[in-house]
Amino acid sequence: MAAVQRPLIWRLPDHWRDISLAERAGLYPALHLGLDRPVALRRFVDAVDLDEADLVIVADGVLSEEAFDLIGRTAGRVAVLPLGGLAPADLDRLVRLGAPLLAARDEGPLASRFPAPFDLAVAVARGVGARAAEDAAMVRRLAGLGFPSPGAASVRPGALVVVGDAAGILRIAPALARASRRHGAPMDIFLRDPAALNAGALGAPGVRLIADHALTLKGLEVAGAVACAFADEPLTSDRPALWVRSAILAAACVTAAAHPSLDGLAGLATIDDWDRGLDRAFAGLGARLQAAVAAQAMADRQTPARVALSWSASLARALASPIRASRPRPELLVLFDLAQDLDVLLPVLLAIQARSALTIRTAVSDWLQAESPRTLDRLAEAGFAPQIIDRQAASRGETPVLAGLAGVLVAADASVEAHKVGRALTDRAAAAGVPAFSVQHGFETLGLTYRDPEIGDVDFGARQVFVWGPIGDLPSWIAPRTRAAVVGLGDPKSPPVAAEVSWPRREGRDGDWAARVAVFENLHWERYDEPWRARFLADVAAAAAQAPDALFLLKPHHAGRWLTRRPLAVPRAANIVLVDPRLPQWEPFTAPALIAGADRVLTTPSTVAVDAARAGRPVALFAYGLDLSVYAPLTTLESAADVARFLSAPEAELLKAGESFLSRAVLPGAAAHRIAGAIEARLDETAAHGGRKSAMFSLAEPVN
Amino acid sequence: MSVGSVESLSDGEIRGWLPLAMAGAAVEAVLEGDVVAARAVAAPSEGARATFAFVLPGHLADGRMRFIEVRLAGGEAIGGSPVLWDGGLLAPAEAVATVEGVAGLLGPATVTGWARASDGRSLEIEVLRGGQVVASAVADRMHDGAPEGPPCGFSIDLTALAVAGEAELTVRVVGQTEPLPGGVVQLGRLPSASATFRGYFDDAGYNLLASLPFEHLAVSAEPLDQRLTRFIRRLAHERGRLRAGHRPAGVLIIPPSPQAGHGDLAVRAWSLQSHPAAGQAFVQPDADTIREAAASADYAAFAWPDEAPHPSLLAVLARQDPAADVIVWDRFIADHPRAGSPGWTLRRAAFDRPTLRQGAMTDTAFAVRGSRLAEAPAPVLEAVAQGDLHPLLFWLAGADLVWRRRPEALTSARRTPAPPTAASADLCQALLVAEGSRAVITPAPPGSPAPFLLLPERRAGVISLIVMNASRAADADRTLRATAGQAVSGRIEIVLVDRPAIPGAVLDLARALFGVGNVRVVHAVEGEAHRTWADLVNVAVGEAGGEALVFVDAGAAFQDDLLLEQLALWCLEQGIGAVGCAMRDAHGRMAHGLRVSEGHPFGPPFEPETDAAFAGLVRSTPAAPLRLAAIARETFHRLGGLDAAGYGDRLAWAELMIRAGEARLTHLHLGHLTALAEAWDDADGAGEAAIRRARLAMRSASADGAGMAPGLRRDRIAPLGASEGSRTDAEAALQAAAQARRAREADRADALAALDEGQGLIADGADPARLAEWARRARARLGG
Repeated sequence: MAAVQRPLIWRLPDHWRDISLAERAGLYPALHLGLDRPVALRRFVDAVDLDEADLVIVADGVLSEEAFDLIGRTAGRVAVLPLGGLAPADLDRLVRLGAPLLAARDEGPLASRFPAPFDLAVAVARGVGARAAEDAAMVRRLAGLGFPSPGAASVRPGALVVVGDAAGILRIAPALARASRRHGAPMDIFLRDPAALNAGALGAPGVRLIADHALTLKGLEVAGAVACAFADEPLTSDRPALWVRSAILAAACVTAAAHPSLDGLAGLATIDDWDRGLDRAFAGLGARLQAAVAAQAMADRQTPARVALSWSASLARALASPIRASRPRPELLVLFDLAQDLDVLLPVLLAIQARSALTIRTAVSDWLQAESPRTLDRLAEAGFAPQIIDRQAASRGETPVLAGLAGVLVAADASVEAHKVGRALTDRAAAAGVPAFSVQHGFETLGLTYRDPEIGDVDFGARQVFVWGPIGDLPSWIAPRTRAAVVGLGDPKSPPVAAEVSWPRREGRDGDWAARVAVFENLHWERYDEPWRARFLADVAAAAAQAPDALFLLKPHHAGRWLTRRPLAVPRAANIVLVDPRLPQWEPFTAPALIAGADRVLTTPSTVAVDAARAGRPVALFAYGLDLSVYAPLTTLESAADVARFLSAPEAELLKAGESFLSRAVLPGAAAHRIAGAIEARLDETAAHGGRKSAMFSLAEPVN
Repeated sequence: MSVGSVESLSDGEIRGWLPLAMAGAAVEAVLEGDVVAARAVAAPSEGARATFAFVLPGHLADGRMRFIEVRLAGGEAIGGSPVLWDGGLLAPAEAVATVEGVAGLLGPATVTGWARASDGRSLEIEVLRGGQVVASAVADRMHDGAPEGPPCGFSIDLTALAVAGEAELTVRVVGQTEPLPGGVVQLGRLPSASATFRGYFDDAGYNLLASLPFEHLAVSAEPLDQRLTRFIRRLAHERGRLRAGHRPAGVLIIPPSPQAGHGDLAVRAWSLQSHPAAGQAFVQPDADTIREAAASADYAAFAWPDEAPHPSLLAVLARQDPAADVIVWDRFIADHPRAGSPGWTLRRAAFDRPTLRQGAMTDTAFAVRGSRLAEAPAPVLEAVAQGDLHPLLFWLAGADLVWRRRPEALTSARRTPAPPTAASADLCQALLVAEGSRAVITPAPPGSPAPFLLLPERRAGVISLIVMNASRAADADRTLRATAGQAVSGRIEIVLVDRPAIPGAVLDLARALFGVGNVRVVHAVEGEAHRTWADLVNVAVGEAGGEALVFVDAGAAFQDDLLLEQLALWCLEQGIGAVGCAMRDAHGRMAHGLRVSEGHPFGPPFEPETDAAFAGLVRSTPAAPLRLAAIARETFHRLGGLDAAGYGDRLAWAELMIRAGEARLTHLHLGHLTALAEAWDDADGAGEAAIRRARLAMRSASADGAGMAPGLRRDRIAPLGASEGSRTDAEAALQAAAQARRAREADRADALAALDEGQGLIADGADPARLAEWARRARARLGG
């Protein structure tokens, strides 16, 4: 240390009264920066201090006028730390003031770009979590500032500890209730305002609602599982990550609702897969061991010296960052041409919209407008007004107009007839030097995870293809050009939280089935021939006969409905029930609800297998000779004996196979913000390099 | 009015006493009311008594249950008489069970009925003519009219007697003087051809029918005429299902049988049942013929030359179950020792394929889809052509086919399973190896209904023998010496456990026999009198390092060289809890630590269940006794070890058995292995109470899961074996990680104080050199 640096003042938000563990953890860097310079925490800052100090303004929601005043007076010596996030209007105001953000994020492989406009300078420092020693020191300092001592509610050992906001907790209530019932764990819920939630609405016994400032590190340590569910937290907030990091450091098994701040933590916590995450935490030692290892790894990354190094460098960067010239937001065209495009593109679209870095233009083909009005309805609900384009003209490359566009995004641009509209657009974009992006639209996607010998080699027109799984685990046969384009970020969709449905009860006895098996069919797919279907039906019947105490609920594909159209083909037994999705009584029996309530899931090859694995339910696929290597190591079934073996196999073993499958099939957590961030980063980079590059290679490739 | 008393009955010797005044009186042991089996004279003895003792003749000591009346030569009964002789066991008067049943004549020359004892044991039925026993059978077969419970029917063929002419017969339970109700029957002459069947068959056909072993079709009180009529109607009905012009529904393959002679009953019966669409019968075909015949027909069925295929066979072939590759009938094997039980055991859970194969060994009651049979390897078909079905069944069981079980009973004449040839055993072993199994085929011991015994593949590297009550020097000595004579594939480790200190001589012996490094000692030290027995045993298990733990009470000795090895090997199988074996005292009586009150007082503590898996040698039981039982170390830990808090220290083991039952583990009884040990008392009946609870738990567990595929139950107990690695290791790792984390976090509080110190220095305006020195120290402590 050559000389003591200028003092640093951390100004706390005006409205803070009771400070929770996570908020205290967010202030730890102030402690650690004390290795380099004098650091003071302040509730108020006077003019004398300002003359010789640098300033970090801690923001939690809305910034006060006094804060903006300080920012204006100390330009070049001030950074804003959005610990609890910033309102979009305040972000815009900061852009105008040219004030930099000092943000905490983790450096995990799936970390996404910080969600902020391009013209706002953001310096990212290493995120921290609560630890006993720092917390004791921080409590002392805050007490010195007149903050009340934090409460300490005792968490019931082995309880399901939930932190979050009312909306977030209500959204996942069915999963919380299921886990609480299934594992006999009481639920301790911590939130800013316990009165905002009605314990009865959670549908589980033994629920306690407690103010979040009373949750201690000890409470996280004794918890059976920790759930973190924020729905209303701004994208720029670090609060969800602060709780998750704190729980990880306490070696708790964490399941959390997706939030951009958690992208860097994917892999250390379960994101959005509620049933699976909570079940794993309660049921097995494996998850607890992983949590112990994660705690060690995170603690190693969070030594005071490392944190101080990271924050001091980031702060220096933030304070030195030049004011960025304001420029118009780049425009991204998003094209919808197939019915399934909506499911994968809408989450990305909403993420881009919320992040305020890009302007979005949407286009829908006239064919899709007629085929699936849902697409237009949903886009309109989200506030988009799509341009309707002529599909024929689009496939000829005549529309939509590319002028003024910074990039295009499609969901289907493989070199196959069905994708010709998307492919024409990405090829045109490539020819024009406009970056083109596409996303994997299903688990089995032609050219990525599935190939049809009759179609032959398939490639993609987009420069970047965002896929669900790790790119190292893609099949060896994918085209070299595709391999160069794929970027593994995960599935953009967040799996819906399965509602509770009451399964049909058994007549006589005590009304309960000893086990519940959900069977999913998409037999309408031309991939199957008649003998294949016959074997499927015979084996389901045989399995049902062999396990008469188990209920087999047959769920046809909602569009194909092969079985409901052929009622005579349905195997008949007292323990086989067919779900007809058109009948009102079966309406609540959605695929996620069925999967969540089932003990075993049997399915024909489809995304259901992925959904079941993500829901933490043992799943097997009917194969009968099909190449299902993409589903390995899930159980594949070739005979009735295989079905019987699967039904009687130990659950833990099957779940292990499910975990192994997920690790190579789907990257953890929802990828919408990661994809949005990747697109933003690419477009920012393109803009920084002076616009378009001419990439003509795509013209050499024939389309279809 | 009785005098004196019978005191004991052991080693074929009955002892008792009379008042001294009756010294010199003659005492008789009387069988069946009037047969004097032995005589003795009461001689003066100590205690103002005259004692007597007589040895029963050898033929009585064969284990058959009999009542023996002990009386003075003049007829006056002696106290305690009659005694129940059962393989050398003496029953008290209250153990005498009541008997119920019925008997009658079925057809011209078959005596049938049922008989049941109130204690559930099997009864033997005898038929007397003129006071002489002319036939006998065990009542353990299915019978239409019998009450619910284990099979208790009987059927005795008296054709040979009938040929000799009319006679009056008495049918009674052995040991009873009164005949069964309806048990006095008049045996008439055999009927001649009846006009009843003229409508269906000509003379030749009827004669053929009459030669079929119909008495085995079903044991019922239905007259033969009616049964024949029913048979013929059934046959006509099934024939009607067959469509001419279709490819043959089945072929019947009749391999040569070294035992069954060269009778052509099967061919005749097939032709009688057959139809142009039903296919051909092949007598002693070669391998190529079998392959061709199988490929040409939907199904292939098998029969020995002296067997008659049941109409049900034809029925199934006619129905053409499209999903089934192999169809298996529950077979009623007439006069077989296990008649009435399924010939096949299709258990797919803990026992999986070995059981299937074991059950399959003796039977021809199955049909195979022709195309599948045609795919069988050449050596397998060669073996079939030579009359050896074992390899075929091994191959079928390993080929992952769809099996269907049919509840209909097929019948056949009595067959003793042929011992497997060396070539057959080698071929079966080769098929197992080809399938990736390391299981070992060994010849089954005599008396087993199956020729092979499949031994599990997993062997224990180290067997930990936990010798309890090891401070009893003489007993421990016997057990240790017996253990030293055991043959094991790995190593034996000894843990001596007792509350008092272990005598030095015992320790020295153990070290001498097994090596110093292989002997551990656990006992309660001074001041630890409060330590429970369960706690001591848990500590002993902690000391033990073997994969298999064998708990043994000091004093037990082993009669089979491979006893420890086999106990250990079975307990390491998946889904298995504790494994025990037969235990007898020095007099050959069953000796167990816990006794059952509701059953026979000398039976095993937990009766083996009727489902005899593994060739009838290894049976599942509701629990196993602690006096000698093996349990995998992993299982013991997973169940949480012994816990005295449940039913108290004495019954901690029984409580563990209940927990094991709740965890759906199967306990095994290896009936072919015997150990010697002295019996324990259960003076206060607490053992009985525990067993009742264990039974209840077991019963409710099995009722709960009836018909379920076992793994479907969502139990939250971690799976056994390699599925999740070793749970204990994982737990230990977790604990270590938690400790490390706590230590790490605790240390940091001091380290972080450096920050406060530094801020203090800065606030005081310290000189740069001091600050630099502080910063260097702080970085070192805070993990720079």
